[in-house]
Amino acid sequence: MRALALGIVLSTVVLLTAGCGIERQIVDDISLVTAVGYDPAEGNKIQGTIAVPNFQAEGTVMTEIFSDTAMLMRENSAKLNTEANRPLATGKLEVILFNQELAKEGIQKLKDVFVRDPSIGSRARLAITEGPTQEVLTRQYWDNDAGMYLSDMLEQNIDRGTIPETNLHLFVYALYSKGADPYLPYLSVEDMVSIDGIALLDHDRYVGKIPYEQTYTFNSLVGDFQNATFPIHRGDKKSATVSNISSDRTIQFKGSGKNMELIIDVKQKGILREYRGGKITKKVLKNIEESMEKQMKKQAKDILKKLKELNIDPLALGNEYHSEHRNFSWKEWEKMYPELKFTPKIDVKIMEYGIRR
Amino acid sequence: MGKPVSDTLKVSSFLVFFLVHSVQVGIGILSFESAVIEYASYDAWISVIIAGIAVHVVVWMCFKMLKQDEDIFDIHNTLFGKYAGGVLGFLISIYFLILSAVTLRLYIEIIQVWMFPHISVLYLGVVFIILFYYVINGGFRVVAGICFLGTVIPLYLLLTLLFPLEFAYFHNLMPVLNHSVKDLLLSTKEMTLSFLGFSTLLIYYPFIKHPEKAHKWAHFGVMFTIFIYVALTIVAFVFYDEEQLSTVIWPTLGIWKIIEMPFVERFEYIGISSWAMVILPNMTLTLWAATRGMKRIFHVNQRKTVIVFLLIVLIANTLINGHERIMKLSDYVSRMGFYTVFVYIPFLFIAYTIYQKVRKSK
Repeated sequence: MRALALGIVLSTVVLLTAGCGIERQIVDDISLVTAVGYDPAEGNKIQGTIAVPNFQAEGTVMTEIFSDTAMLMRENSAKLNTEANRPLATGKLEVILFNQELAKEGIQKLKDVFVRDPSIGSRARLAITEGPTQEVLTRQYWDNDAGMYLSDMLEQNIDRGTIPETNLHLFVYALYSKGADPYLPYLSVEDMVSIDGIALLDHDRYVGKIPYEQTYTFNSLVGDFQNATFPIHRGDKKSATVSNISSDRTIQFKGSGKNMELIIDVKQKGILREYRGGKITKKVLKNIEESMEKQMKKQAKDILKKLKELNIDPLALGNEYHSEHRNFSWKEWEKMYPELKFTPKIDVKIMEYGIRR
Repeated sequence: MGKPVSDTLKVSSFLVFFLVHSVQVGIGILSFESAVIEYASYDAWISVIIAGIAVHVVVWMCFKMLKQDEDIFDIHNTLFGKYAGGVLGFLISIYFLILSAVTLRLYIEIIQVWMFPHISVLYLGVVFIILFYYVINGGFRVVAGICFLGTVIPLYLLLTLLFPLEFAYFHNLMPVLNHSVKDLLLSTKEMTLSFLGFSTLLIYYPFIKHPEKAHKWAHFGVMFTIFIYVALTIVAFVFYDEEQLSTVIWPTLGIWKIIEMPFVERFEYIGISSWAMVILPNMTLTLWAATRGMKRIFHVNQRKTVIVFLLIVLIANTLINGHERIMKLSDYVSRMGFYTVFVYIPFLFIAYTIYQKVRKSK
């Protein structure tokens, strides 16, 4: 009984002193950073730009932009904090952008702050931009905050199969993985900010990109996706557009040593969305399927050639090979990779063609 | 032999399942993946199973050694006499005391790193210590009840293992068994540390009704622990790359970071808070065992030693600061535990068996 009484007294004391030592963070009193962008600056410095949404009374959102240069990332945050009226908090960070000029020098050293800080979510999206990230972030996105707009834009395009799934966790995974190289969405800034392809990285350095026209095929080589659209250009009379319901990729290694052949087998089911030619017959469908296969195959060959030339492995073929072979050494694989013979096999089946014959 | 424990203070034999399981799953489960992958790489989940089997053997030894109303202190007395036996028993008690102190410090460190960097250890420590005192003061039956709750309530966290599978690379696990037996065993040794604490069994044994029936429940408890560890190991291995995993300090919390639900932006904060429920049985059972040891050796009032021990835990917690120092201490304690469980208990078992054989033949 006495113990209970003592317990109650002590608990009260503790509750009364509650809050001491805990840093309060009230949503209204902090600036939630939704996007950051990094550009190269003079000297060994970077220019960091952040976007903070400021919610207006009438329901619209203004984006506050802060920008400054520093050598270190956190040094930069501290400098930005001197410009802000409320403390900056990174808990809601959704988009991390890198200028391609900066990415060419490697972003390994820059990613440290994002994986060291427990408050940053693993689902934050990364992207490489063609121009200065500052320009991307200072754009007006109608009534939206820049960070949230870009995050939604990337997300819906991943769902739509325009680009493969990417986020901070997957990026770091590919960065550390011996048998894979990372890739990120590539944003271009013209009249609009748009996804203009996929940036390819050699370990952490930006080395090249897959143009927008080839993203569909690149996606099909990377893994399974759906809902994406593929245009088939066959002149004015016969051109068509197909979107896919499913896409299955299987990888097979044939032969051994120098004669190793790698077969990437892509099986797709699609819906015909548009056809210039008029009535659809069995023969027409077959024709469309065949020309789509042909065009995809050509693109696939181009992509694979490019990957080989750059000696990068965004398709994670090394991991695939590793999982199927015992007594495996990465050195051997590195020697083998540039000499691999790639054979893409594409199979397209058009299942439906809408509500018109 | 000590005074037999009265029946009203005993617990049902099936509760041994929760007593064994809850004290095994503690703070180590949040970070063991990066240690276990060090030698056997992606094959290390096999090491988890091997470690579990070794634990089964030790549990079997414990049950073979002890008879009704006996505990480790009786065995010490018969084997080594009053003084040497007393010293050994004292060391066992101190081991449990240090184990509980380190567990609490590791948990507070997680709160400091992940949630409140500025929070004072003393403040959090006092809150916890009051709770522990309240539980241990209720006696062994309350501690066993907390072990039950501490297992059942956090069970929902098992479901969270499904979310990271969205980003799973199952080919990481292939090819299976691509490592030497030596590597597997080295990883096994790392893994055994996550099973420690179940040796409290040697102390609460007299508190079990029908201890012969409890034997199977103890094994079920270990099996359940193995199941959880293997599941978590596999999820971590398909989620992380090997090198990436070795850079992460708390891989389990990192797995929770990827979970996003419409109503929770970051799941790890819920996970860490729920973990208090997992730490509670850990702390109370080991502290109860430590104070029970003091009572058996020095015949002092257990309620008073509880206060003393809790204060020691609190002071120790405020004195140990910084990740490196905490890790170093935790390393020492793990090594201590390893030798207690996998060297000392088998030794005791063999010695005691020979002793009994010799006495019988006389």
